[in-house]
Amino acid sequence: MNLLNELMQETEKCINCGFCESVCPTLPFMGYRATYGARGRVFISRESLRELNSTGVISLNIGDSIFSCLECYACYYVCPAGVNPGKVSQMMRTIINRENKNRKNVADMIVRAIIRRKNPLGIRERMSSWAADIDFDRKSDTLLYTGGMYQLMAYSSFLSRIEGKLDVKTVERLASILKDKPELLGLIAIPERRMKERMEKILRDIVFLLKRSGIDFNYLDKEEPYSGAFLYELGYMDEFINYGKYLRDLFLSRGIKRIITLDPHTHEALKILYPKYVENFNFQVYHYLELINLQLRKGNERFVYHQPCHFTMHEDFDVPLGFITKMGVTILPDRNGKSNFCCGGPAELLYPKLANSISNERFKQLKEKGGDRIITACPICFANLSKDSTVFDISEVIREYLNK
Amino acid sequence: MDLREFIDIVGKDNVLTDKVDVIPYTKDASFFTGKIPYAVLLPQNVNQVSSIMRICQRDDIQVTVRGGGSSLTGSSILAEEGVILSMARFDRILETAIEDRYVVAEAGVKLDYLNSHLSKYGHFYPPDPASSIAATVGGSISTNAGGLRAAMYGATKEWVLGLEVVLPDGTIIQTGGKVLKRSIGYDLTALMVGSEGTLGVITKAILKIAPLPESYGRIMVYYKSIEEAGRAISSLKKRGITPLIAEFMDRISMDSITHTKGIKFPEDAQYLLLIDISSTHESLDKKLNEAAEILKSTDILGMRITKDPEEMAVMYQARKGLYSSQLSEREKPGEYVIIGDIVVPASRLPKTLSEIKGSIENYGLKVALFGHIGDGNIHANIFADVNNSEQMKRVNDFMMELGRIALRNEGSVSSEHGIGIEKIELLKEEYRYKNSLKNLDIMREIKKIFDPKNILNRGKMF
Repeated sequence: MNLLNELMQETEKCINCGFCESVCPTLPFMGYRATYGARGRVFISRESLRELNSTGVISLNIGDSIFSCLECYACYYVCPAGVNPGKVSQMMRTIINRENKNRKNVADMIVRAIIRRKNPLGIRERMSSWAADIDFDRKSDTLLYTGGMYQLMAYSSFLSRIEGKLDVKTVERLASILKDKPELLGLIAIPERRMKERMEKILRDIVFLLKRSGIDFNYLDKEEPYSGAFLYELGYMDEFINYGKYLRDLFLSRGIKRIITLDPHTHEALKILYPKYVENFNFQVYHYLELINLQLRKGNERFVYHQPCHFTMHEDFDVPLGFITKMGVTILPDRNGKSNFCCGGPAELLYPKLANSISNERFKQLKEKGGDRIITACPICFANLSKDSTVFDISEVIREYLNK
Repeated sequence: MDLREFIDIVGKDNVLTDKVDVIPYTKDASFFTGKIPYAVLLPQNVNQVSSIMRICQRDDIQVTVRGGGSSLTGSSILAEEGVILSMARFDRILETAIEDRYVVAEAGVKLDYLNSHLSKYGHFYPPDPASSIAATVGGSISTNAGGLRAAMYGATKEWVLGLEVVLPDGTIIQTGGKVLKRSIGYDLTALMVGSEGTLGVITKAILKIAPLPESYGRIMVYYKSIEEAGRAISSLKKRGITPLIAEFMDRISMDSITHTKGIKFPEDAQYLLLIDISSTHESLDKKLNEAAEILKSTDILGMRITKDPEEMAVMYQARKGLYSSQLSEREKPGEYVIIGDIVVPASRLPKTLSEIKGSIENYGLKVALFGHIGDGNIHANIFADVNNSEQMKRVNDFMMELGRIALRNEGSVSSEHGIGIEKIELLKEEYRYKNSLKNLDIMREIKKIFDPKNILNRGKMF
């Protein structure tokens, strides 16, 4: 089935009951304007598709509505008709990109940087400084693949803070210039020092845990490319498939058979999406927590766990929860599991003010549970929720709780 | 239309006029499509609503108030050109008084959100329309919503103690209050309940609350005969058992849940009764067994009793989403599901259900039967292509016949969804049947007193 037909079928199932709207994190923070809620997105998508089908064009300005969706899928799990508004938004982005109207320059800028420089900010060579003094097994067919996700957070936090101070139009104008010159993007990509140090420490903790578990692996250092997850999330499907082929060939050329991922976005891309869309993308993909086999202390600390949407809503990946329960008392926020509340991170580069409002709300929800520490298992969630000293990445806590 | 005054009141960001922003407000959960609003206004406090209404009354601007936009009869879309007044930003719970058993909430608070808040205090607000995740305090009051728990707790009208209302001329009034009893003349709170946004704009409500049931269990019982399913409920009631929930569904409804939620039902079952019994922890088993014994005396195909919270929650959510799930049973996308909503006394259920079944066959329509059978509420959801005029005539005729069946059995043409656009003729039919058309005259006169220029939700109810 082609994309247009698939989208029409999905949106025509909707009867506007509004269940999805009530759990959509973006709606209240965009002033309760229906277009910025899940129901509104499905509605304007359906209207646009009908118009596209009959006239060949889309006249509605649907870009901000569709691109502001977090794709958290909270909407999907309450829809009684089985519509996935998050998936509708993702697919509509592909329509928008192909129609060449309503495109977002910031998205175009990121995409071109990924394609040309193998990194969303065009700074691939800066992603490996954390590993300078680590010995990797250069002959191993197992690859530690960071995709640059933890490292990028120091840069994206800085950029989104600047963007947050500008209006959307100014940001779009700047992006329209930078999108043709991704090499210039690196000039304004300045890391937040403390976030960079923290993220590098987390990466080293993960390596420590894997090595202590007896796992040997290689690492691509400065050649390590980004995973391409953004290409999929932003709806650049042709580019995503081509990028997947590039990754496949790179991994094959290095004799890689097994890949260890560190974050939910990269994990989903390599484990689920590329095998679905790219021929012969047949690697064994593991999240690092699946490979760690270490004795942990059991304590009385109360951990409030924020589940990453891409683990709980896009996949059924509960491994982090098992570790947290082994170490202490697990507390889940009221919205957890299939009714999870996003950290706001996916909107960080395109709609930083929205992302900040949502992350503030989620942080409040997590703090209200009264735990000793908040734990995340995703660099994007970590960067967005890191609003005080009680927020930790799961790898940091596991390392602390290792039996000496 | 000059929108500058509205912008002065609520700010530029809260006056929506771009086509992409306003067209979602042409739809609610009904099959109707409303007029495209000139503007959607998003006020945040009662004074802003008051100022907006003054302008609308002065300039004769038609206003439709919108809560969760989950109306099934078209009452939250524009029947004529005008503005939509969205209450979405009225999203605060203002006061929770457990010792006095009330909660004060703004009109845009969603019912599930309200109950999530109250559950922290071991209490709840019983009105429980299937759309409670999306339905708001204001919207559910405006339609006198019922729902699953109405079998035990009654509909919304039993639970509203007082209201803050903005009248079309901008006057802000308070009705009722924070006490359970009050005898001070005409009950304007009761008048507002079910008025579907035709008399005033509800901005705040004082709602009665109750302690959460200590424990409950569920009996799922399957039938081959629709009459037996109806008889089961009247048997329970005759023996003094009032279920917390008593839901009914037919095979089409069960299939739709199987297709959308993966829940399976016995293949030979044509009808399902889902009955929740609440009690103290100590006596729950006894009460469940009592109810089960009564049900076994009817001609059942099978029965399952459970107290597993997870199992009960999954089926409860599936039942709440049944209307949408039924879309999976459409023969083609774009076909609509048009909802019938009647109510009869419990003792009339077997006869009523049998008559409805006969009528469905006569009209040659595909209809899913389900409902809150514990209070006699039956939904007949018709699968129809709204562009097929011949089929739509049969649908309309069947809807009228459905209403007449309810009236012949001493019930009503509308149980819990209101009148909106959909049931204007049925409303007349009910009063005609009761030789009480004067009621409609009185209602029109009341409407004139509240809204002399007829600016509020024009084209609904009358």
